[in-house]
Amino acid sequence: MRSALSENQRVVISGAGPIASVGIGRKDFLKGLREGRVGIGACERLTDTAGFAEVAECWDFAVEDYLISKKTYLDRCSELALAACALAFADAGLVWSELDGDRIGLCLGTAYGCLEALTNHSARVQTKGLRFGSPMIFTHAMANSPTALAAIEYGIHGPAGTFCAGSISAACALEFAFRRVRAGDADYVLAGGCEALSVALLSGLAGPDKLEPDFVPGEGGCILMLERMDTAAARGAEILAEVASVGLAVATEAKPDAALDAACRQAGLTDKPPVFAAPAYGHTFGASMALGICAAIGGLDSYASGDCVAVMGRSSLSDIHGPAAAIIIRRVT
Amino acid sequence: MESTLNRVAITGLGAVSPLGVGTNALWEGLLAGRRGLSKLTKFDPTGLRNEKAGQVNDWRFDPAQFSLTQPPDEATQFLLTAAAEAIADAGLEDRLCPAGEPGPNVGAVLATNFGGSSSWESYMSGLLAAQPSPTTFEQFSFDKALATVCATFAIGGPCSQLSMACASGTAAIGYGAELIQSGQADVVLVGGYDSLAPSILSGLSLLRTITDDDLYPFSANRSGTIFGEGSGVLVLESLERARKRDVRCYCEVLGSWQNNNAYHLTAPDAGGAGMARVLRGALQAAELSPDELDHINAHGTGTEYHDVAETEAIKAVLGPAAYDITVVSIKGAISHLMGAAGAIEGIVTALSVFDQIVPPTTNYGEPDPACDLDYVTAGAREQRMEYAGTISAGIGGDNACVVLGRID
Repeated sequence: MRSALSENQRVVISGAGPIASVGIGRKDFLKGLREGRVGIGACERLTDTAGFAEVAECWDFAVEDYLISKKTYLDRCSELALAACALAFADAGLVWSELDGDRIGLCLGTAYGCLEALTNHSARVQTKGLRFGSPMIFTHAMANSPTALAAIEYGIHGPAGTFCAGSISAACALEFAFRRVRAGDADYVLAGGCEALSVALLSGLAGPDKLEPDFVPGEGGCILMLERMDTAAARGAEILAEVASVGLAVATEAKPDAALDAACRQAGLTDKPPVFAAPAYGHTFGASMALGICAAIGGLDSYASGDCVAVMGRSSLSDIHGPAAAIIIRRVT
Repeated sequence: MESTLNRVAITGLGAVSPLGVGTNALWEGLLAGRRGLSKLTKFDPTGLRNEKAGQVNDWRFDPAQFSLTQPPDEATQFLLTAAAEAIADAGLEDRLCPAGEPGPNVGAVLATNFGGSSSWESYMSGLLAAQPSPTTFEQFSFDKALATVCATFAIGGPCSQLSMACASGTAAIGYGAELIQSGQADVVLVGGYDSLAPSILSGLSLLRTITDDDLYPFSANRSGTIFGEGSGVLVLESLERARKRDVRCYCEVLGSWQNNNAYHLTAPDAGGAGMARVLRGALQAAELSPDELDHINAHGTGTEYHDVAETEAIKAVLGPAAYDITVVSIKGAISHLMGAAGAIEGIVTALSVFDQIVPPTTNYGEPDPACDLDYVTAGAREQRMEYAGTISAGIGGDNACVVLGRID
């Protein structure tokens, strides 16, 4: 067993690839937030929104703008993952083909995975019989297929994983990625989340008592590039923020902030940092905490160097108790 | 500055498998060479390449035992049952949340390929009839089982869930061990779960991953695998804490690795390069040299390309030492349990180290010159071992490996 771990390995975010209704790419996304761009509106891509009058759809997103080669088929969730990775590489000033694939990792979170593909496959099975599913669509319906496709696309042979823990999925991915960089298992780890709107998802959420009245479902993706601070500094990368800690814990009535408490302990903070309030671009489920981090990076400008801010989330949409996460980032100048 | 990492012991095991409910049924069945494959009866298998499956038969779930008013999705039922056994096996029934005093910081890392797959089928029926049920959708949701386990067993520490196809369960063991190594949890429940459902088996059958014959791991006459269902759960805790409690430690988790082939969604890469990388990474994390490994519980699906690739991967990492170790696939006995496979195989590997005996590769067929390692084909074998590994791989190219060590 690894007998020891260096505590001096500071981990930073050196690139971000957000895709959201308010903007695509870090600069456009943050500009959209600052300008108060409206990220909520009528759904254009789906034929049935199960009564949701408004959604946060990535209206301007076209995967063709980001792919290395043309693909026969991609679920929307995989499209978002592939494009978010491309944006993160570019934002970090890294060219994937020039890197050692064994030293790149990929950790992706998604609450529901590729529901559109799964729905298509299952509809065939249920209406025509077991022999009439689609093997091609089935492979694209697996929850790990966005990660697998991104690994194939960018030659990522290092540590990899897909995390499905509801709306803290991206935080789970970031926690694992944070470990990989600190342990020196990879030089660069892409980490974040993706989620796509689909008829099956919206229909499944449309219960009468499950959600708050102003709940707006959304889609999006956000991949962050994590690397060690010393290597980022050595290559002259723009350091967007330091990841101080990622806390995972179960929120209970007695300990509603258990995840933030855990994150503070890990970061060695005695006082809780301010919690960044998520802007109004809909609830993006498995992508939400990664997009939250990206948005918080934009808000760090108003902080002094060394100051921290937290992004919090919980796995369940309907229950305030249960698995929860808190990510603390620190401004580095 | 360096911080010392905690050693991690496995102190509890729980299993629901096609060989029955309970770890004893699994372990004794494997050692005896029993098989748990049967005709699929939970739904009409017409149209599948094979009507046999590793179905969990003759069991009943009592929601009241878990303080639930309604039974959860079937996959969660398997998980809760295995978790309760593992917690009891570790002697922690009353200690996860002791009344009136702070308990240990308990976490959970779970893994599944398909979430609540039976609920998904019900949900789809409703969706196709324009009557979708949000309640059923919630039971399908991947995070539901995690939340249910946390609530049922008063888990308050770090929680996560992986979905890495059939490498999921193994990856969960490795990640859970890291949470204890780094001191973020005192105890972690790790495990995998999945249940058989029409859409899943349809897809796997159409991919021709499922054989139309029988499952013959590492054999010349292999032609595919057979899938099954169940759950495996292990209780991990710091060795120091386990020793203070004076409980049985099956073995120690020494290191792990997980990766992706980055090659193809369904085909293994040439020479099993991805699996070689995952085995090499786990050995490095365990701070072991390849020739120190004594035994591998292999993925061994019985598919044409996988078994050769895995054999080549083991030989690539271990070199000539590959011929000195035992390599076992238990899938001929229990089938391929998808998200539960890695956790069940982790349990079996832990028991192999603890009891110093390896189960056979049940239903081995004709020898294949391309698969030329010692697959333990003539019944269970006593073996002195210090270190054992378990490898898993899955659709999408995901791999995971965990290395375990004997505790004196």
